[in-house]
Amino acid sequence: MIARHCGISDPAVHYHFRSKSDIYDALLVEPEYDSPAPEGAADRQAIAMFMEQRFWWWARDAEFVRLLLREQLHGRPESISYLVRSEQQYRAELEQAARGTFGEGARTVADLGWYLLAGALWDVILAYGSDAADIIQQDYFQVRVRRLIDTALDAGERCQP
Amino acid sequence: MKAPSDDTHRPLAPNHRGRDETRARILRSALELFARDGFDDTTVKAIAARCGLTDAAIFYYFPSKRHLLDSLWHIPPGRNIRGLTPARLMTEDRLRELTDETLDFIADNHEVMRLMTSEALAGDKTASALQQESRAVWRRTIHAHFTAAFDEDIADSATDALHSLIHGFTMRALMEP
Repeated sequence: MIARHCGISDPAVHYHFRSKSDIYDALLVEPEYDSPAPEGAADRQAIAMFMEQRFWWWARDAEFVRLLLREQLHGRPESISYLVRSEQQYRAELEQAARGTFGEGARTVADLGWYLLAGALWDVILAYGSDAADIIQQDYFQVRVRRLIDTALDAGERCQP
Repeated sequence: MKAPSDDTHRPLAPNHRGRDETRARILRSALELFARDGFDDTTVKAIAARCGLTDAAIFYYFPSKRHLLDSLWHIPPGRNIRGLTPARLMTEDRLRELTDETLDFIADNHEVMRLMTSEALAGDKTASALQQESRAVWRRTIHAHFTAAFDEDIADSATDALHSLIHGFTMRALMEP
């Protein structure tokens, strides 16, 4: 099945991976984001763009997130620690990037940003099943994501002393 | 007519209360194991061991493991989300109340929630339908609250933000061991 999906032969898959669980472990490598976190004094727009880029990095792989979600709900330790590491990295990078513009509100931006965007992605995957990948491509979903990012940033602004 | 006799002397014909209690005990153990290990990875033998019965006894109550799962969906939750209806004007206090009620409900029913979510992800039709229904009911209620206080487009994005936030928070909590 996996071999058919990527258009190579069964033995070729076995040559690279001894078993199905080896393939799964290989998927759990640290994410290599194609866009770095903004450095120095990032303004609101740069932070919003960073949040969007991170969101789409995950959202374009809805099937992978779905697989992870199942493993995580079953409490599989590797999948949970993968989540914990990704979450910590996300929050730390976002808080760091937002510090200059939002001051004390940076923590709120990171907190809300994480829950709002992870929640939206998990929700679309759960609610639409195998159609999720198509829904995610729709314009209205992209507008929805931008609004959620604004919500997190607005809350961060209100938290400034 | 004979007066009802003491049931303990008639083990072959247990009364309804005894049957119902055993049935409930089996369902309870099944829920715990399904929620922890998933439906596919749970055996009837393990459920039997957990409630101190034989697998034959389980099959007496439930013809198959699938019947057990389907019966779980029909157990009413420990309590309903109180006070969601009727929709009132959304104020800061009301928002806090709705959020607290929702989170309390999820905490009280976290095993069913986790099971329903993971079975919906695995493609179980009943779990998916129930999940969709509760999502729709919840969103409709919150939306009605927001439209009582704001314009339609503000109500839309506020509903979406509150839903995403609570969903993200809840899912994350369900993953905690």
